[in-house]
Formats: sequence, C-alpha cells, structure tokens
Amino acid sequence: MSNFVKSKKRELVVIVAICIMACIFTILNPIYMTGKNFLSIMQQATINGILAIGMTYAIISGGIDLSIGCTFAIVIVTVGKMTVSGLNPVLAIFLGILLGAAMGAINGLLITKMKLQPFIATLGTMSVYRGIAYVVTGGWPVLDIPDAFRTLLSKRISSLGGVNIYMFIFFAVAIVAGIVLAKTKFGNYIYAVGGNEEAAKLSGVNVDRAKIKAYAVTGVCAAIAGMIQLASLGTGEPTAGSGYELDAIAAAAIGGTRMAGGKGTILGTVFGAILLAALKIGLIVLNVDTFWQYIVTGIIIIIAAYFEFIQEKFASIVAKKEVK
Amino acid sequence: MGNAVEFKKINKRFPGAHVLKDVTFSVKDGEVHALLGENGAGKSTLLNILHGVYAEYEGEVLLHGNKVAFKNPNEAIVKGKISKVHQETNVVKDLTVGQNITLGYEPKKGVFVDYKELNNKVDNILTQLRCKFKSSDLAGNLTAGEMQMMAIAKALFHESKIISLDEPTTALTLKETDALFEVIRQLKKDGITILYVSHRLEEIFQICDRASILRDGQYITTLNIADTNRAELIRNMVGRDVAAVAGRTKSGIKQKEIVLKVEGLSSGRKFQDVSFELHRGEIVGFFGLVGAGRTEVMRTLFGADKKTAGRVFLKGKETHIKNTHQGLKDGIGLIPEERKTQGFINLQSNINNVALSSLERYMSGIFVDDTKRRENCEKYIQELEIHPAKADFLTSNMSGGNQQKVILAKWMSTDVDVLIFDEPTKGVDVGAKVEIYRIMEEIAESGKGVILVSSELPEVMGMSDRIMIMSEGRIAGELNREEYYEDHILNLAIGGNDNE
Amino acid sequence: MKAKKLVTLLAATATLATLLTGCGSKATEATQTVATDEAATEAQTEAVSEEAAAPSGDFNPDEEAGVSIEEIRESNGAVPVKAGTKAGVVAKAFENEYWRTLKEGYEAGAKYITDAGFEVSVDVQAPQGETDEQGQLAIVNNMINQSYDMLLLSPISDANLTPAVEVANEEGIPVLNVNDGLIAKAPYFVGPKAYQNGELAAEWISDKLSGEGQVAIVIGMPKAFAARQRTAGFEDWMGSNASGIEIVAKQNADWDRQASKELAETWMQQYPDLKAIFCNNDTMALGVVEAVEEQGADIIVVGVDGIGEAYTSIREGKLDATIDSFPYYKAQIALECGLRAMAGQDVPRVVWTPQALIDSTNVDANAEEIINWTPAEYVAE
Repeated sequence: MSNFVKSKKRELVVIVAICIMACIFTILNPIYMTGKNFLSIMQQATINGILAIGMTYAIISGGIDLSIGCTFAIVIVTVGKMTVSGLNPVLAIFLGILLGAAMGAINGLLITKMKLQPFIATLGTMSVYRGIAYVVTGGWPVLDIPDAFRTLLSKRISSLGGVNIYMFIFFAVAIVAGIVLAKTKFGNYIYAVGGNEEAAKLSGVNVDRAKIKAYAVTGVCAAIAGMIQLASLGTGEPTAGSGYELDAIAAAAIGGTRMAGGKGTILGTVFGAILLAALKIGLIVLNVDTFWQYIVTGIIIIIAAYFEFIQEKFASIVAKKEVK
Repeated sequence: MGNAVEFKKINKRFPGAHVLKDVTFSVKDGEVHALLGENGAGKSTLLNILHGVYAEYEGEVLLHGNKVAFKNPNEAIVKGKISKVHQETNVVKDLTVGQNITLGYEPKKGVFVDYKELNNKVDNILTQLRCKFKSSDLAGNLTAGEMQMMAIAKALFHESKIISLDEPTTALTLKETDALFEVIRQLKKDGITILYVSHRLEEIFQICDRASILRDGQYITTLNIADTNRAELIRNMVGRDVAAVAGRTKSGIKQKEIVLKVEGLSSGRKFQDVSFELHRGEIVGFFGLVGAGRTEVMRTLFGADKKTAGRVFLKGKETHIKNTHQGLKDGIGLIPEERKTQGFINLQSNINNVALSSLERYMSGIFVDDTKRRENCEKYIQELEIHPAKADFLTSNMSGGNQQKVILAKWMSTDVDVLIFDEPTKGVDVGAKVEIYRIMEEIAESGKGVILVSSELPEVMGMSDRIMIMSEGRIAGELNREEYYEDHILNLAIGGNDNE
Repeated sequence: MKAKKLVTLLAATATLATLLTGCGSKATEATQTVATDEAATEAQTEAVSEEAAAPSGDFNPDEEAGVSIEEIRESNGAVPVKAGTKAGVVAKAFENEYWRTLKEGYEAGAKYITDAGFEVSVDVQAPQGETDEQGQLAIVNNMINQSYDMLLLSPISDANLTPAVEVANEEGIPVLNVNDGLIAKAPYFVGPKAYQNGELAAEWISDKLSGEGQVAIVIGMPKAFAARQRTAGFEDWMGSNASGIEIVAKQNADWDRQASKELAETWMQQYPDLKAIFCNNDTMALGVVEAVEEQGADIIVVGVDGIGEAYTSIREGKLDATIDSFPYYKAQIALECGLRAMAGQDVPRVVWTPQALIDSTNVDANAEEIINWTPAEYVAE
C-alpha cells in the first residue's frame, strides 16, 4: 500500500461506502446518478458539513459541543436583525463570525476555567443560547432578509450549471479548517490535548488556550453555517438548528473521528456529511416511508461506528501478513 | 521433585514483532523461580501465555506434566489452579475485600450470596497470610501493600498451586516488602510454586531459588541463585558487563552559575518551605519516601500545580510560572513519573511526541514542517539508540525504556535550562537504565541543571552531586557526596519518626 | 474483507429500503381505495380515513359529528357569565407564533367580556419548549390546586395531561381540549377539522391545475395527529375527486424549513413536471417557496396555519395559498364554550372552529369578514 493510501485509509473507506450506496440507489432509481442530483447532495451536505467540521474540532480536543445548533440560531437571528436594519452585509457577516467565536469561547472558558465536563457545560449553554435567540426575537422570525446579504452567501451560478455559491464556501471552510488542524501548531496541540491531556500539559502545552480556541472554531463554523441557512431561506427563525448537533456528531463519527478525542480528520468528516446527505436524498428519491427512514439512517450510523472496529482488526491482519 | 511448569518451544508473534523465540525451560515444583530480563525481553508475554491471556501461540505449556491450553485467564485460575498477581492489581474499590476476592465465585445460599460463609472463608485465608485487615473492610481503604496481599489471598481462595508475582514490590514500602517476602516463604513451605518477576536484583537474592533469564525474546539460561552473583545476572540480561549500574562517568562538569533558585516554596498541605539552589552542570537528587512531596514540588516548579507561597528565580530573574506552557518558555522541563499516562500522547507517532514541546523550531511560515520534524526525530533515534528505529512508530507500542528515551528526546529538543527527571528509571530494564544515566550526564554536561527525583537509593547516590532529602512535605536534609551513607539518608527520609 | 463486509451490509440496508418502499406504496393504495368507497356513499358528510384513525383512546375528533359555534349560539342563546371567573389556559409553547396568537385571542376574549361588564380573567401559561411534557403537566396540576374555574388545554402529546384531566373531571372543573394534542378523557374538544384542512387545499390545487398534473406532499412530523389528518384529507379528496392528479411523492420534513427546502430541491430534479406541493404547515411551505424561487420553477405551493409570514409571502406573490384556522378567534370560541359548560349548558363533544383558505384574492380581506365573526352576547349568570 502506498503511503497516501495508508494515511487516508479511513477517508477512502467512506468514499467507497458512498460509491457503493450510490450504485445501489442508482440501480433502484436511475435518477439518482445525474449531475444535478450529485450537486444537490453536495449542497445539502453543506450546512451539516460545516457544523460537523466545527464539531470535529471540539471532539478531537477531547470534548463535545452540544450547543452548536443554538449558536447557529443566535447568529441567524442577530445577523438577520442586523441586515434588516440596513447594516452593511459584509460587516454583518464579519460580526456574525465574531459572535460565533465568542459563543464558542464561552463554552471553552466554562470547560477549562470552571473545569466543567464538556457535555454538561454545552448542555447548559445549549439552553442559554436557545433562550437568548428567543429573547432577541420575542419568538418571532426575522423576515425579509435583504438580497444584498443573501446573494453574498447563497446564489445560484447559472454559468456553472446552477451550482450554489455556498457549496464553494463549504469547500473553502473545509480546506482552511483541514490545513489548520493538520499543519499548524494549534492543530498539533488540539490532537495532543485530546489524545492525552495530562501528557500534553506536562509537555508544556497550554491546554486551556488550545481548548478555548478549539471551541471558538466550533462556534465560528456554527456561525458560518447559520448565515448560509439565513441567506438560503431569507428568514431567520429562533427555532432554527435544533437537533443539528446530533447530525454533526454523526457526520464526524462516520468520518472516523474518535469520540474520546485525539484522532480524526476534516476530510473524513466532510465525507461523513456527504454520506449522510447522499443517504437522505437516496431515501427521498426512492420515496421510502418516513418512519423507516429514521431506522435506515440509524442503522447506517451504527454500521459506520462499528466500522472503526472492523478496520482495526483488518489492519492487524494485514500487519501480520506483512510480517510473515 | 517434578516440574510445576514446563515451556516447550514457545513462539509468539505480534504484528511486526517476534517477541518470543523457541523459549524452553522448566520451573520445579515448590520453588521460588525468578524470571529476569530487560523490558521487552518477553517476560510479560510469557506470563500472559502461561495465564491464558494470550490463547494463540506456538509451542506447548505443561503444568505438572499435563499439556494445557487456556482460553482465558479465568479458566487458568479455576481449572489450572494458577494465578497471577498483577503489577497494578485490579481492585473494585467500592466492594469489600471479601467481595473482591470471591468476585464471581461467591458462596451462595439459594440465590443469595452467603456473606457469613464468604467472610469466614476469606478471613481464614487472611489470617494465614497474617494480614491485619478483614474480609468485611472496604477494598478502597487498603494500602498498596495490603492490596497486593488481597491479590495473593484471592489466589489462595482459588486454591492455586502456582502463583506469578509481576513486579510485586514496585508500590510497596520497605516494611510491606518484608512482610510480602515472609508470606512468599510461607507459601513455599506450603508447597506452592512461585514465579517471581522483578527488576530489583537485591530481592532476587533475598527470596529466589533459581532464576531464568530472557533476552530479546530468547531463553538465555537458568542459574542457581546460591551459585551466582549480581554481575553474572546482569551480564546475562544485557549481554555485557555493567560494573556499576548507576554511577558517574564524568566529574567536574558543575559550573558556577546558579540556574535555579527556590526560596520558601509552599503549596498548601502538600509541601512547605522548600528552598534550594541548582547550578548549571549539576545533578541534584531528591530522595524521600512515597508521599514525601517530591513530585508535588517538581510539578509546582514546572507550573503544573499552583504554589501558595515562595519565590522562584531562573537565571537570576524571578519568575511567576502560572502554567506549564510558561514553565517551558521560562526554561524548565519535567519528565513525569507516570510515563504511560503522563509522558506521551498515545495515538501519536514518535515524530509528533518528540516534537510536541518544541514545535516552533520546525515552522515554515505558519505551518509545521513535517520534514524538519522528522529530521529532528531521526537524529535522536540515532543518538539515543531508540528501538524500533522508526520515526513513524506509535510511541505507545514501544517498550518502557524506549518510551522514556522518546520523552528524553522531546525535552532535549527544547532549550530548557533546568530538566527535572521524576523517577526516570521506574519499570525500566537495566540496559536502558544505564543509557538513561548516560543521557542525564550529557544533559548536565551541556550546561543544564538536572534534578533527579528517585526512590531508589543506589540511583540517587550514584548519580547526584548533592542529595536533598524530603520528608513529609519538607526538606529534611541536604548532603554532599562525601556525606552519603545509606542509613543516614534513610533516617532523614523517615524523619526520625519511629512509628513508620 | 473490509470492502466485502461493507457491501453486504449496504446491500442488506438497500434491500430493506426497497422492501419498505414496496410496503409504503401498497399501504397508500389501500387507503385510497377505502377512502374512495366511503366517499361514494358518504359524499356529503365526512369521509373517514382508516389510516389516520389511530389517536389515543380511540378518540378522533375528525370522525365526530362536530358542531359549529353558530349552531351552539342558536340553540343556547346568550352566554351566562359568573363574575370573577378565572380561566386557566395551558398552551404548548410560546416559541411558536401559533400559540402566541392563541394567547392573544384568549386575552382579547377575556377583555371583551370584562369590558361588557362581567369580570373574567384568563391566565395563559406554557411549558419551556414543545417537548417538555412533564413541565406542562405540572402547570396544569398547579392550576387545579389553585381552583381555576375552567381549564383550556392544548397538550403536547395525546397522553401527557391525562392524569391532571382525570383529577379535574373528578372535581367537576370543565376541561376543554383546544386542538392539536388529543385528550380522550376531556369532555370537550374545540378546534378546526384537520382533515378538512387537507381537503380545502386539495380542492384549491385541483382547481388551479384543472384536475391534472403531478403533486407532492411535505409532511410534518408523521407522529403528529394534525400532520396525519391534513395529509389524509388531501390524499382522499384527490383520490375521489381528481383522477387526473397524481401524488408522486410524500416525505417528512419534521416541520423544519431547511429540511423542506432541501426536499423540494430534490423533487424538482426528480419530477420535472411537478405542478404543486402541499405542505402540512406554513414554515415548511415557506422553505419550499425558497427552493421554487431559486429554481425559477412554476410550482404551486400551499401551506397550513396562516402565520403572518405566510400572509406576507402571499402578498408578494410567492406562496400561493394557506389554510388559516384563525387561532385568535379559536381562543375566543374556546373561552365562550368553557363559560357555557360552567353554566351547565349543553355543549357538544366536538366544536369545530372556522378555517378558510387564504390566497391572493382574499389575503387583504378582514379576517372577521372571511369567517363571519360576531362576538357572542353575555348575560350575568
């Protein structure tokens, strides 16, 4: 096996899984394998994908962030209000990102300075953030988002066969987040902290700072995803994003992120999100009964998690053969 | 006298490693038989095969002349009457001693556990072992030594005829160790065969009849303890003569400049009023009993714990270290006591582990340059003779001594002025010990100040220019080389307290 | 080996999926036949959907012979009011516009009666979030303890308030179940007919399409009674009245705007000839509208609920229609029925509240005119 194949083993497995799934869906309904359908899979993977990228940071650092769906909602309603009140859309986007970073950093501070379990800390902020979104709007949706803002983040490019601009934002976020995680000091520290916090600390790593930054990244991703949804729907609802954290966790898990931290890649998570979108659209195309969709989706997630285990067994068998 | 255990051409392979090669020897009925070898020599693997942890291997194991093949450790205990007392014993702390010992095999009355019968049975065994604790005591309240006794009691409860002890004295006080040896002699009298694994050669001479030596997965020889000596054992273990295990080869490397000065350092109840100085090129030993507060002092100096009082000066300037990141930046490094849980990142390769504390050295712009990192790692792999000599190897898959070398390489990659070694040779084989001592000296020679925290008296005495003795959270004394006397040092460490 | 296992697993899942699709469509066909037969015999009265008839305690208001408020007023006359009446109202959750409007309706009703000279107060409460079943029960229990004179309840699930309702029944406190969740043990139900909701939409769409073309349905959470009934009403009406209309797809979007938008995007590719989409509520319909606008497609979109945003969208020419059930007036009707029940008047088991289809022709009309609203007359008890 070449080095590339070895180092990207998990990602390749997910790609193979997507291909097999696509083949099966295509056999059952040929409409599945069309360029347009492929595009809609990519587009529908966007919001969950960006959220999952953020979630991957939190999980690799050894934690989890249950509040992303609510950070998502706060950003939607505040940025929505800002743009409706006539604020420059670019400035609004910038402020939205800042807001997401701040919400994430608050999670990070609770986890590091108050030594709360990430699960509990973000369970708390999940409720607080959702409440803020309701308070800010009085429960009413923010309507009539100006086109000046919407076209910045959501616009079909007819010269490219109707690709929506946010798909490129998804790719850009994935590339930047992937490089930061794999190549920078900060990324290295996140892996170290998630792999063994005590050892990282005793290696002189500023554990608190690495964690706070990781959660800030999670918040930024939630903010970007939120603003894309705001632009795409033209309405900002305070109820938006509830339950999205679970889809994000699922995408990260399918992509091979270790739930205990220290292991995972952005590429894997991106493919995890694409797999979920491909599955969802496949079930829609086949017009599968909705009750059964829950079951099928759940089974796929369980298979993916179990796969981690099979893969390691397989790796040890290969290694044994190599020795002989 | 027949053979209690016979190993015949045992071979065991792991992915990428052939860890046991044609191992053949036997253990006589009723003897105390030592199993010696460096870390990675295959002792633990052999024990795991004997006790059914590994069911897949080549060759034959015979117990009392019968071939056995246990599927799991439980079968070995129940059917084979053979038990293993672990290095770190598995204890359910919220259960009583009796419940721990009988776990899964509780005497029953109908469907209910018969606690009266259970406690009677267990207390009988505990009396036999001269234990002071009772069956009904909570296991969580036992000392390390008592837990060891509990594990032995468990072996006796299952009427084991063969008991393996794997590094039983690591966590024990001297007194507890004596008590353990007393029990071992008693067991031997009762006709039980003991397999004894330890790094402490003194212990082998105290209680063992014979010793079998493994080196690199191969059986070397079996020696009668009465007919051999320390040097011969070591020669067989490492394949070369180690005249003095711990000793200085370079002298006069101590410089004038004081690199670290500590004044009245305190941290709540953990330690109080610790003051000392450290010169460049100097190795200062910190000796004390377990719980004397040495590790806590070092963690506080490094920034891993908070101080409550005192001042620290580095290179003449006062520093206020708030966290380990700042400790590293200010020039202090710490090689922690618990290597496996504190020393390195489990899921990561040697490259990453070696580079973790010095990432800014391998930057190209804002990115960490993998080539530079790899070059650095490979340099140390050569210099420190790390095995396997693979930069991509997961540190967690290496032997204890090599893991320690990776951690050393991590700190040598930084430019700290003070490096603290906390129990650097704990659980490390003799060969690696020698190498660690040599590296420690080189680090001192390069002008750094070195602190050596150790519970092994010969190690501290052999390596240190000065010894600081700690007792109950305070500095109990400071001795220069010419004042080194074992009983004097021990007396200071005990703190003149006769209760201990 | 790894690949092989994966193939097997995926193949198994896919096989399962195929089976399910098969079952699903069969079930739909069966329903349609049943509905058609019954519709033939009971053309005037309510057609019954077998599939949808599964609410708790076998109580399905859509199958009851409901009575409108006008009929009640005709037979019972003015509303007798006991001065100082304290009504306890428990809604689902105020996160949702619908429940906030309902609250305003209750308060407006109480104010009207008080202004007419009879002091009546309402206390409207809701739990924290639409999933807090226990919290809602606690609120109701508290109201019983404080001896409110009547309880107007909109339960989160069909079952979560049952224990409190049993106590209220014992203590003789009138309990009115105000639509959505169904309390079988409550003596009165006040609400719109969800089934008719779907029928109205179906009729309107069929009209616009001249009885021909492909349509699709976006379902809310399929476990919800309203979602099931609205869908069934729509399907049954189409089945018996518009043979040229083909329902090509129906999928769940969990009441979520983004999910329904994505659903519509997929459908538009899969069914290029799709002519109309019926959504179980307005939020989902507005999501579909976004997808349709983006594609520039010519698809009729109809929602349910009549929220403010839907009205705006209709005015802008985006959303085509919504079925408004006028929660503001529904609340007042519920309060009126409660007072009648307190006074011992004969109130039927099920009271239908008005609903109407809103499209560009009547979007700016006064709601009171659309439903012919007149306040009741009140007299002292």
